[in-house]
Amino acid sequence: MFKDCYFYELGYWLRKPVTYIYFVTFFAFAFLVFIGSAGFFDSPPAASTKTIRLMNSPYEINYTLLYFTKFFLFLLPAIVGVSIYKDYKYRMHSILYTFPIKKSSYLLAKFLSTYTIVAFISLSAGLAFYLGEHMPGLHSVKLGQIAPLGYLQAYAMYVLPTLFFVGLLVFSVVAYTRNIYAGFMLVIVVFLFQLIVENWLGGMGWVDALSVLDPFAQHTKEYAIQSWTVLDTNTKLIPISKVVVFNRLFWLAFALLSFSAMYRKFAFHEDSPGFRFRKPKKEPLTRDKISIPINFRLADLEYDFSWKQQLKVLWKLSRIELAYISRSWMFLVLLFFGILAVLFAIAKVTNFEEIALLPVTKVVLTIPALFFTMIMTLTTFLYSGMLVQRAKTTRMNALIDVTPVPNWVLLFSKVTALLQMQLILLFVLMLAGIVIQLVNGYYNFEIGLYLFQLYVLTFPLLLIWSFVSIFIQTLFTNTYLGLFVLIIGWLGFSGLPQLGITSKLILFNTPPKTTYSDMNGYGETLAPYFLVVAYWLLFALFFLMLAQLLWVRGVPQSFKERLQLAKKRLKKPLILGMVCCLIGFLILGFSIHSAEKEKGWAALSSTDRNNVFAKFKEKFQKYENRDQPRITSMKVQLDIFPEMNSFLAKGSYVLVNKWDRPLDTLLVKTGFDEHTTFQIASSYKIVEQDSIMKFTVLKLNQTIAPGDSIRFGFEVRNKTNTLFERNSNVLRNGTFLLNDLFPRLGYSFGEDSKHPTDSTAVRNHIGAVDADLIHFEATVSTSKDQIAIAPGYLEKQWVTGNRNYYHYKTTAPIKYILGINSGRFHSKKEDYKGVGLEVYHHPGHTYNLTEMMNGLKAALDYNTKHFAPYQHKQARIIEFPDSEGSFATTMANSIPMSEIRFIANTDTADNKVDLAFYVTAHELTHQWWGNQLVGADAKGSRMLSESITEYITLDIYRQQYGEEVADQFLEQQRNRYFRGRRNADEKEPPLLLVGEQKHLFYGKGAMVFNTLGHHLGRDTLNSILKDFLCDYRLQSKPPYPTSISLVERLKSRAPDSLQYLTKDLFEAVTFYDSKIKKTTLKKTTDGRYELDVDFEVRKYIDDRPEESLPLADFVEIGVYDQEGTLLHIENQKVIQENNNISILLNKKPMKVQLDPGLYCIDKNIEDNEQIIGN
Amino acid sequence: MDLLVSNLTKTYANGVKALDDLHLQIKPGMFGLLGPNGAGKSSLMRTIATLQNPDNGYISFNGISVLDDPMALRKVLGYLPQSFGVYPKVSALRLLDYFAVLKGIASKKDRQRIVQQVLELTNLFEVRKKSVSGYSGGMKQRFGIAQLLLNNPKLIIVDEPTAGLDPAERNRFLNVLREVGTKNTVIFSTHIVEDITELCTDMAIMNNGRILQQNTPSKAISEMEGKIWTAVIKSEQLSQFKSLYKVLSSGYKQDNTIAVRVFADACPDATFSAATPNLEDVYFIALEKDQTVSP
Repeated sequence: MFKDCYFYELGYWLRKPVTYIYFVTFFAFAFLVFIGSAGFFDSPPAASTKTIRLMNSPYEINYTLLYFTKFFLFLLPAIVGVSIYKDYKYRMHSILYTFPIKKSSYLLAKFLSTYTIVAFISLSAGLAFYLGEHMPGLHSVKLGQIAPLGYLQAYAMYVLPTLFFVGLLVFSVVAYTRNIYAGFMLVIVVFLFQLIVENWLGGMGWVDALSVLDPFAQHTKEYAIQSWTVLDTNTKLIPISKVVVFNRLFWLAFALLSFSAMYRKFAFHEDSPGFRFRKPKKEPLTRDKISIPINFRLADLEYDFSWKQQLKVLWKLSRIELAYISRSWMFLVLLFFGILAVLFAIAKVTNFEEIALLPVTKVVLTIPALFFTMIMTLTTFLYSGMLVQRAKTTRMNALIDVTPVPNWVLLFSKVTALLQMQLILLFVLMLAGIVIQLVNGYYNFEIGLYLFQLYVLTFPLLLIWSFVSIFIQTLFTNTYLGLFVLIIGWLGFSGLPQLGITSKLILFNTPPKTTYSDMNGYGETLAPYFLVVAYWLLFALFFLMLAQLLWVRGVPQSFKERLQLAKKRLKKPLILGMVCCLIGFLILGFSIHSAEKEKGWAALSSTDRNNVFAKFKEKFQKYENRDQPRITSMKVQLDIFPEMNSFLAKGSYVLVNKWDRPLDTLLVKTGFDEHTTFQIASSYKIVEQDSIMKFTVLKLNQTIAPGDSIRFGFEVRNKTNTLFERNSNVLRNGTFLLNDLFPRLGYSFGEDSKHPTDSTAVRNHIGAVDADLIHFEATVSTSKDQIAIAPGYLEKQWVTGNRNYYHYKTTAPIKYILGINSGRFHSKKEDYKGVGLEVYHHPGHTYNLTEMMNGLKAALDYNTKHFAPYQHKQARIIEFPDSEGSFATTMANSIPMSEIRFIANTDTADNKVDLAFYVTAHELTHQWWGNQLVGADAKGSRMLSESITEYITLDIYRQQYGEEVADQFLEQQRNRYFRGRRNADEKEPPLLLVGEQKHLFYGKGAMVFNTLGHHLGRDTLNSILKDFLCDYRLQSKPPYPTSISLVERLKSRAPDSLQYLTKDLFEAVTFYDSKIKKTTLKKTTDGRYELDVDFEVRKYIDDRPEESLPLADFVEIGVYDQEGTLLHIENQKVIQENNNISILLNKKPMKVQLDPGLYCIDKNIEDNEQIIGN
Repeated sequence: MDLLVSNLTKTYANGVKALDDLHLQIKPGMFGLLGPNGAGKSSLMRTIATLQNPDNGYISFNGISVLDDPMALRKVLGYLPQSFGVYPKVSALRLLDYFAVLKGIASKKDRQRIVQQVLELTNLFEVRKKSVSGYSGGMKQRFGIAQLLLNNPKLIIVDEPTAGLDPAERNRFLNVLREVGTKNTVIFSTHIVEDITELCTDMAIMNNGRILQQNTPSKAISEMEGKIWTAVIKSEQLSQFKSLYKVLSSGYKQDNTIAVRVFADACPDATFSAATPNLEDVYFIALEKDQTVSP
């Protein structure tokens, strides 16, 4: 019986062409995606020492298959759901259910056979990848060995099980409700569910719960391999961890449970059991008395077929269609999960995240925007089909179609209903945002911003989708097919950039991103946005009119008949409309095209840039170590015109030949986005020039003698902005100009730094190749409503005409790292121990000013106490819009800080790191570690600035907020380290040789110095650092200090017993692998507790995990009671792998933890603790 | 108020010729369209009701060229298809209001008035708040009539409305139809001959996409006067009779004998006696003729 049913259904689907269409479509997409990511469409990458992610590693195959699985999920309702739904749709069930079929055979056969079909289609992606691997023309650096096991595992553990669980759920829901759309809705709900647990559980740090509940086991897998490096990712098979298995079993159980619940309720009955929220009233329809009407006269009524009335009808119909959508339980379910998902997505950012932000409106709006737009797009796809086919599905079309209502009224009533649905969903999103704000006690509701972002920016995109999906659904007359085409189209367009197609002319409905800053609003991002939106809107309108031509009225027609009918319907106004749309579309397309053609450096793709640079390097690298005179002072007159987005800078350098031989060649690099001219006192001729890299080699007719100087004058103007590209960094408000706009000397293109032992490395410091420390003087002017701030102290301020002028001058030498700001600022000023503390901020961004001031003070106190005096009289924090970045940095006596830091959520109630305090303290500490001590332009110098600064910030933090919060901070640093390691494209260098890897110089660096401080004693460490600093303080000539110099210093001061630390922490990449093996607790006769702990400690070098290193290391063991309070901590010297320790305690212990202070770097710290058994 | 159909031709994609150069002229009153299953009745009615386009032909009603201006016809059209569904879980009241809107009744008051009237006419007033999807077959069919009446139609097309109705429902249905039909043009398709006899002032018999015969029922019957003969025979004799005579119909009696009706200009045999012709005879004769003409 089962077998017959199974094969009947299987045969049904195997005979259907659509099965193969699905297969082929997915195959084609997967194939293109694979060869695209393996570089088929790109020029080959320049040779590099970096580890490139292999596109065919088991991990990557798994990852990409998961991506495809998410699309396969939409096949489940279309195939698994339809298998049972078709019996209801074609009313087969009234006959079929009288047959002697067993319920179990019927249901199981339907599910399993169609699951087989979906599983078959899902193989298309794997097959495409596998064949893709053999494709010629791929970049060999992006491919490793073919890993069949990787495919096998991806399918066996992830793809097929996920499809099975969700398939079973879809089947159960469709069988129960007899509604196919419920199946589609369920798939969306599964996505929403994943998002909810991801944001909620992930945000709370409940990784275990997330690992189990993630329906796709995506996070589960990532969790299992969190300590992997890219090299591991490239080569290893994903381990079958317990938690992955558990996840799969959990979902299997859940799906089976749902199925059995459905199974019990399912009966071979005419009607569905359905969901009854209210008990139906038991009132049978009584047979009415037959009365025969005679001689009746129907009321004489007025009929109105005017335009106005038709519009009214349209509106009324749309309300009815909307009621149909909004009153269905499906929509309510979707709304419920949608709101939850949005709430958690926002809450993650405002409450859970390490860098939590205040729920200011722009944050609340941007966080869920992408995701919510996706869900709304999917909903639009689905409901457009349901609305267009509604009359047909319910077979009421014959009644409606003979009424004198024009097609356009029917069509637009559906469109209008769809748009109303979108408006409602957007409104709900707005409400969710406001709720989050309320919950967080934030009451500055910027309703205008909500409305603009949601209704003016987001809504048009949805509108365009609704037009197009109404067209597609009209064209295909089959909701599933329409839905499939729409989803595939959507997927296809989102995949185009991967194939190298990035033109806005082709990427459907994808306008350039807008950015919103409280300071600068949408800046210049709106015009291009609306241009592209208008372009696609005309496109969509054209198709909507086409939909009207193809609108099906009456009995089903062949496509040929529909075309004939369309020709008949093509009347003048419509032709006019369509032609107008087309012309507008072409005109806008042309202007987009011409704007896109003006591509500057910033618009080049990274491969293009690499290629341009490679060519340049070939020709110019010979100048790399050419001695250049150095800039010793700079004077500039800078006029900023915020309302015109432009500036004009005129200035000059004094260049000094600090070398012992005469110089005659100048290497001048001018700004990419600027027009620069320069004048040199002596005459010169240009030897070589590169117009793309803006690099000029010129020969002076008169050499500069050693010790001599010349004046180098320059004039810099910005290029004007194009539609899609910002060439000028001048904003209407919050301008933040950097030194990269000025001409610079020497060959320096941010390539890898040299080894610290390289003698040429110590000739320059890490900030600049063309200057040691400089004097700086500037006159900056800006519009009258703005304040301009430049390095140095304000000497003079005046107003001329409509403009503000400021004259700044430094008193202490600074690095040539400059920032010049202009904006409408409010300021907070305070004098603290002779230092002027100032914060220039956007009016209203006052949330964290106190914390910032405290940060400044704490850093000032700590660093002056332990190291040296502050070199400036002032510390200024200046806010800049987050369109310019999210960072904070130290420049002369200023700390430019991103807007995002001003809206950080510093509510430290649950031991979160106070970001405002931390960032400020960190940046000010750089005045000592970075500006007073300036490291050489060599690997490891970031350790001198960033690692030490991060450690000191940690110590400041400890003193300010206590151990517990500091531990939290340290844990974040550890996470940062391993997260970064996970994505690092190079083998991890020892800290001594760290380059630009943030996770090493911040995350690991902070851990390393913390360990050192712990073992050496924090005061001892500080005094070593102090001596080091004083040796080099404010040094303005080479040789600059390197990481090696510091490590040598540490070695000379560390006791013998701790010498191992300098080696393990700085010179090698060392890991511990410790775990607690066994604990036994005995009660002694005197009522105390004797705790016996067996534990294991192993130490190894990163790439040789099997080889244990000899030990003479200190490891701490902490014992905690029930409340988590530390009862005892033992610092144990460990000299062998297996150890045993006995601890006598007065109180009953609950938990033992190895290395609770995170002094040993251990990839897996979960086995470091154990709850004590009895 | 005449409906004129000429040269109407329609061949479906699967090759079935549903309408074959069909001509028809229908005057106000009840017009019955009689024909076996698959004769093309529904195709014809759908085509007149603007739900389907013919390959060829011309339809006009009351000066409206239907194929060129379907919207004009829809304003005066009431159509009840052979089978239809409704939006689930919507009450008759709401649905009728919905249709009234579609049919161009702008004022809410007017809509309420007409909806109330058609509900009463079709005896659905009591159950107006129940959802139509839960109605019994007869009630649903009456609902179909109710929606059809909303725009006070001049041309009413009902496609096999009595199929599946119990006698009481059928009666009631036909009565409503009769009332409407007196002033307007009503086209009524059926394969039940009694419907036509009871109701129609004019009729046509249709098969294979063509009109075989158009006549008033009484005239058609009177033309058969003296040409219908009946006899009671044994069941074994039936095939023999069929080969000898034009047997129009045969029906078993309880004693296992068969009553046959035969068409002949004169009494064919002594076993036969003259019978009063009825519409069924007319129908069968027409079909019979058609079969002998067309291969």
